Amino acid sequence: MRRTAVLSRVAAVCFAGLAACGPVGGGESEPGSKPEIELHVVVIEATGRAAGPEFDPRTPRDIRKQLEGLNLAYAKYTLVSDERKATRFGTEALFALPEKESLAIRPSADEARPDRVRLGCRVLDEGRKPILVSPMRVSYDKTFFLQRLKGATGILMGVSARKAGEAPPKP
Amino acid sequence: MNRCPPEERLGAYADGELDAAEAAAVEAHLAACDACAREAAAIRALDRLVAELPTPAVSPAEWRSAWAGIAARIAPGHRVAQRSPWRRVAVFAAAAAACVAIAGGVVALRPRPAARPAEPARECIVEDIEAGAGFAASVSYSADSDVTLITVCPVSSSEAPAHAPNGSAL
Repeated sequence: MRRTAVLSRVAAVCFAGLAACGPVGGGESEPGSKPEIELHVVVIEATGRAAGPEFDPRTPRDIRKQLEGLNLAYAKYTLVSDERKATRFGTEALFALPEKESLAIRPSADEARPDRVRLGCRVLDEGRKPILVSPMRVSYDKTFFLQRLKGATGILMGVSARKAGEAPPKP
Repeated sequence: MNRCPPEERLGAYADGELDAAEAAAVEAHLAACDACAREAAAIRALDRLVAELPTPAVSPAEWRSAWAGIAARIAPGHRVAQRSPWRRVAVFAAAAAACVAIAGGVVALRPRPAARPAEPARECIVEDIEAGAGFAASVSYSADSDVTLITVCPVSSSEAPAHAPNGSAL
């Protein structure tokens, strides 16, 4: 009887410990777990209107080239952030945007095509309310852009993903 | 015809796309070449398999919704129909998945005389878009920079048309 009571207490402690670790699968990644994917988000604030755009010299060259090809007709492009986050499939990574908004990206594997990744993208306002939700299937190292229009200003987010530990592709 | 015809010509022969003289030349070669005869038979078998696949019933509205997504990917600077908030285009995703599955099957089943180097896939597929309440979202593709752009703006925003790729409205 005494042994049963001790075992029950041990089981209860173990269960409480597990619960304290937080949600499993879909929550934060476990500390020390190996990242599977690296997300790269470049945030650029685009303002004004002009034929010949002026780019922040810190803007990554490939991002600038792609933006020039988009021909968005903004006058000035200012780099806000250039951030890489290593994470695991099923875990949402948050990237800060101006005015307390954020971009949340949840990567998951594309079982049909190992050269592609699924990216669930959400642009959230300061109250974490979704402004945009867009699931994507994209090749690794392929950049796409999200644009959040705010009056005459555009917040451009260049998003790409790379398998963790892999070298960047040759240009 | 002494030399083996290329695979494309065998495919065209199996599909009945060659003129009479070309078809006769291929036919004569097949009579003398077992390898090509086998390949032609495999192509015909594959064609039969594909023809036997069930055709899903798709409504006109679903086709229109699928075409909007396709147009966004193939027409640079082309005006893309604005999607109403919270409208799902699962049919487009399903159609795309079916195309990928069929294409994958064709690639896997079709016999190839020589291995070809695989081209790197550089794709970006928008599976769905949902705009929050009070917002509208759209997809554009620019062939100039091979980039997909998803834009979200307030529904009442008057600036939206000015900042689309190539000056087109979103």
